Amino acid sequence: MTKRFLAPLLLLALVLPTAAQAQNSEIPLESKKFMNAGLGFGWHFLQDDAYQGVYGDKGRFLTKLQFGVVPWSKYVHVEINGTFSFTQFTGQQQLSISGGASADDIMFTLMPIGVDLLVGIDIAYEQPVVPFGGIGFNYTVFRENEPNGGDTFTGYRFGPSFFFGGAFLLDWIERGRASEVDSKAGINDAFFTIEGRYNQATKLSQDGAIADGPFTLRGWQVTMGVKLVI
Amino acid sequence: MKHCTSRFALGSFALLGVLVAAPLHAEVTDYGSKDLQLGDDAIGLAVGFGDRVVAAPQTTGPVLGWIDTIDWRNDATQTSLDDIDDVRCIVAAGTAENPILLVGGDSVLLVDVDIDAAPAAIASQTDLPINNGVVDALVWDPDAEVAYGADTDNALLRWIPVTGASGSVDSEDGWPVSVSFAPTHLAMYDASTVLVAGGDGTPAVGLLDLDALTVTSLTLPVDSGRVVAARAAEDGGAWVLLDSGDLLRIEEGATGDDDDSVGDDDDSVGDDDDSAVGDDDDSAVGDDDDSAVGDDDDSAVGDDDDSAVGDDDDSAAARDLRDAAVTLVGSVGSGAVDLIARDGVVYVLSGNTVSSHDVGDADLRDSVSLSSAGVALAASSAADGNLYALLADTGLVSVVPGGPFLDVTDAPTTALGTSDDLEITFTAGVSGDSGTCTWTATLDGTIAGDGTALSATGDATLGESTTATIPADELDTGSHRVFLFCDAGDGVSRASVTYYQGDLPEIADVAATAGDARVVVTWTEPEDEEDVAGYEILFDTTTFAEGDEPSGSNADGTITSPISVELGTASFEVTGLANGSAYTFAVVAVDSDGNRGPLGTLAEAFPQVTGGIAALAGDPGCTCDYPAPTGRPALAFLVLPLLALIRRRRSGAC
Repeated sequence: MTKRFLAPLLLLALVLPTAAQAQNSEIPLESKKFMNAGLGFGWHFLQDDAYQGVYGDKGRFLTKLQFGVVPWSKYVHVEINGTFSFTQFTGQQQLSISGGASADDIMFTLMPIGVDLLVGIDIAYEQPVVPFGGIGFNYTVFRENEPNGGDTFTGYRFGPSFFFGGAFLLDWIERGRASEVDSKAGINDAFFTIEGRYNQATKLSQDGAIADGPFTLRGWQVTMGVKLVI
Repeated sequence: MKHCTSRFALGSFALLGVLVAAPLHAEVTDYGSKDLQLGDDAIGLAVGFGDRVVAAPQTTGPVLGWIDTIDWRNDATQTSLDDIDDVRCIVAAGTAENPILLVGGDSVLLVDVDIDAAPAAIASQTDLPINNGVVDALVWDPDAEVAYGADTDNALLRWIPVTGASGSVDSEDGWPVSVSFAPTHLAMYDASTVLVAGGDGTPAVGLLDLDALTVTSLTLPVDSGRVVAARAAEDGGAWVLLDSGDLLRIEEGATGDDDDSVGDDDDSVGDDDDSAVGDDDDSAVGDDDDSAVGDDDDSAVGDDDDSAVGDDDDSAAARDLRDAAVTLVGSVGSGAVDLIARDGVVYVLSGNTVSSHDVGDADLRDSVSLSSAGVALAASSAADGNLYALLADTGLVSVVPGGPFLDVTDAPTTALGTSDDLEITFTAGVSGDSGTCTWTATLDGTIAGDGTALSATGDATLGESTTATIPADELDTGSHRVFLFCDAGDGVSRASVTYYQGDLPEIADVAATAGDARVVVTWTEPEDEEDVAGYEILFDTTTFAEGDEPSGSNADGTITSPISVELGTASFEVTGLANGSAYTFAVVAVDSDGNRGPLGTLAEAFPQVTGGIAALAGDPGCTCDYPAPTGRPALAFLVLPLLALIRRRRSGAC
């Protein structure tokens, strides 16, 4: 047997017993899912050349908060979420005449706000790994401010988002306690999530029309965190 | 084009006495000229007192292109001229110790030149606004330490304070002074008189009496031609050059008062002067002296003394400027554009030739060719011996040297060991020069050769490469400058190089990063710090070399070169710099005795406005107003379990 078939079979073996258990059960083993929240941390990689001229091309630490509703969660897990991310870091201001990095610092604050439609494959009861993906719309607010009371500049970009990842069910670590948490606090599932997200934040509204900004805030977010489904 | 003149040639003989190696130069036409790049679109030319700075203002910018002649290899520096838009002329002002350049136009800019630094630096610029007018020509009055300006369109002469710049243009009583013709050129005629030349279609010359503030028009022997130059004469009076080639001499004529010649009442025996008993002087009782009104003394109007108009004496008030003689000396040929009177001859710039002419009849004596047509002449002091010609449309200035031009082609750029000789390779003279010169050298001092004389000497064949070797035991350790002089018998030329000799390490990785009105200088400390007691940061707006003493400073003078930095430091921020000016930085090690190590690599930085991505990209921005993040987004996460708990309780679950 080749490795090509090994991984799907292992996943199937993991999922099928729990799926059968769920389908055969007549008593709901957990409460109905209706909303979720998550907190993640990771790195933001902006890809715009102008941006990278000031702040470089390395990833910047990112905090991400997510709230949403779960309109459907049978076999297919669907969420409609709002996300709020925050990152803040420093770079070197550019020289206005000769170009290039100057000796002057500048701070960049980035706050991507998004609305997402997430679809996950959750066909089994207490499925240990839920792969998911989705699309969304993001509105990214930025602020640049010079230190010591210097100039502050505020702007925004918006555009579509695309994301994918995996949610790893933490209830498996101690299932009894997870059930107790569900019954007493209403927290149905707890996941450890890994997500990759591409924000195509390139547009702005100018003179009543949507136009490309003089620079973009497009780039990747890679985050890891915890998500609770209630 | 308007030219500004000063009594530079007359007033700078002071240097003559200290020039050890150089006798008075012969005519500059004996040797070939050498071109230096100075800038573009230049108008006018001036050599600052002290002979160091050769400067030409350029209309584009405007900027002042200038070069420090202490080392002919120096690149020209372009300094932005602030607060002036329409540049029209330039003149050297101040003194040899404190030279100033005055740039005239829609205002007068006082440019303070620091020649204590090497290379020289533009220390400051002071704007003197003009109320409703311009200055088309300038002349420096060294006795009064003010300048006078000519406003051609308004036919006015203006008074320009310089010392301390405490006043403003024309703030002196009686100024501006009206002229009956359009003044285009000025020259100091004598200590109390300014020659004014110009005209509206026909040439006109007048003399401004600085006491009476009146202009006396003179009768000219010619009635056609345009004035292209007016310069002070070496032996008094002035020269005026017309584009027709006519050379006019203006000097004191036969007097109408009783002054200094035999037969009048002055200072010789037989007349009523001070020489002997019997004449009306001050020597004895009985003669008409100082004792009472009625005698010919100094006491009152009515006697023949120095006190008032109407007496026969030598006072300015008694002078009748109408008696000044204007003589047509001769013609130097049409197309002449400028002149300098020095070395007992009149130098005339015409086309691509500088020619010397007899002062008596304007006959051609000799000439030297330039690489292209010239538009203006300027002279260093007679002791220094050079003329400079600004060439049209090239940005070049041609050095017309008093001796064979010394072109240093090779000199050490790295540190010398304590046993290393200093070898300087140079070529004396330019192509076409022939003969030999004898080179000598001095250590430190100035271009006048007043440093420590070195024993090394040798002969150089003009036009050929020569290596001068200075033995190590004649050199001082540390950073120093060696001046080379080459004496061809009828003229001496000069050049200089710098060197470092010693054991202090060169500081590596010197970098200067510009910011908004500041520069951060960084370097790597040497691993072997045994001899290093600290560092000095040297900086200036011009580049500099080993042995130079750059004198840069920030805008308010709170940080000046050199900056002492403690051992263990590897960066320093220089703040308060002028945006738009390029600065050169170097970091040198310093030993416990204050000796500097080798200069090493120079780092340049160009402070300028800086900005982030949004500002520089021209982002339209927004009026987004959002609260600053609290930094505790995780708190919101805790709300979720509470919501879940509430839901549970409402549904009856527990």
